[in-house]
Amino acid sequence: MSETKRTNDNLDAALAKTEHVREWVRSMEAEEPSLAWRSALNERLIASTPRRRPLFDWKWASGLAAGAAMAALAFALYIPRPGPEPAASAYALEEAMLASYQQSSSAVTLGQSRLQPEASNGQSLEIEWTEADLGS
Amino acid sequence: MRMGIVLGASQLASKRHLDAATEQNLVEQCRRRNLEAFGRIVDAYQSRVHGFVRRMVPDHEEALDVTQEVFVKAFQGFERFDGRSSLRTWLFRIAYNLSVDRSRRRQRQEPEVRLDAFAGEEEAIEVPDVRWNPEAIVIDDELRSIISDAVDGLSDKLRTVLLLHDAEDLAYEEIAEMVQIPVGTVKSRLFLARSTLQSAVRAYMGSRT
Repeated sequence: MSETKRTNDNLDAALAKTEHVREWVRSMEAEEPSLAWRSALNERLIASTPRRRPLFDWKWASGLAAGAAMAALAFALYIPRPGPEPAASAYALEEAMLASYQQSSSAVTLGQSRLQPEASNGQSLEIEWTEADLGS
Repeated sequence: MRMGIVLGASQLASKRHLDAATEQNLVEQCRRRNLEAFGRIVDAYQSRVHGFVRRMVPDHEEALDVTQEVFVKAFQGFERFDGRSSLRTWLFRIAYNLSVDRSRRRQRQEPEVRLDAFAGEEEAIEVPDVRWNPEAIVIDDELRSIISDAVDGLSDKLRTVLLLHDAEDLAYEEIAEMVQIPVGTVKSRLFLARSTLQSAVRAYMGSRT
């Protein structure tokens, strides 16, 4: 028989002889916590319960709405709004006017005394100006 | 006599005892954080848990606070209760751990109990005395007070084992796991605690005759 086993058996025998002490221990007064204690415990338990987030949170929703409104306002103010497409004819007129201006200014630069409109076939078109045309 | 309702531990245990099926049902509800079900568990165990904590934490108000903390921690961690031990054992484990934490804060240093520490104690009790018949002792209020003082005077280590085994009926193995000591040490501490109580009672009886 090992030393440990013998010690264990001795302990069991010794404990059996002192079993009556169990009754003494159980005879000690037990104090019931008060109702105030219980009420305080309930408060602590409720406080410790994790609260579920409501499906619709007004604080979050109002913040989100305010943000969206500000973004929309910024978009309306700062993003350039494309205007109506000009008609094709308007473009053509502008281009024609510009070409005419460039041609005349080139002619002045080159020292030509008068306008020499080009014929459609590329040859120079001589215009015979009358007195009436020249306003004299 | 203390203020408030004072009842014996066994009276309270029988008064609010939960049968196994009811307790299992309450445990399932508590896992789903049912506060009402947990309230019934508090009703069933508050007196016993407080009785243990009050012996482990000397200050009355602090003991009440620790008892509350036991139940708050139990409620918060109920999903971790796996059912391998009984609910009662689990609650007392929490109570023990919290009481030890408070005790460590007070920095009460106790000498380590050795297995051979009770060797002489046993012989002292074995002295033949025809007048000494502990089983026949009638426990009156005065003797109850002597026992209570003797329990309070034990070291934390001895008191823990004595209360968990003799007052709460926890098995040696459960106590060993809870306190993290070998089963043999549980038995030796229990014997030493009982011997100390016997000595106190014997001295009191001797002074009365």
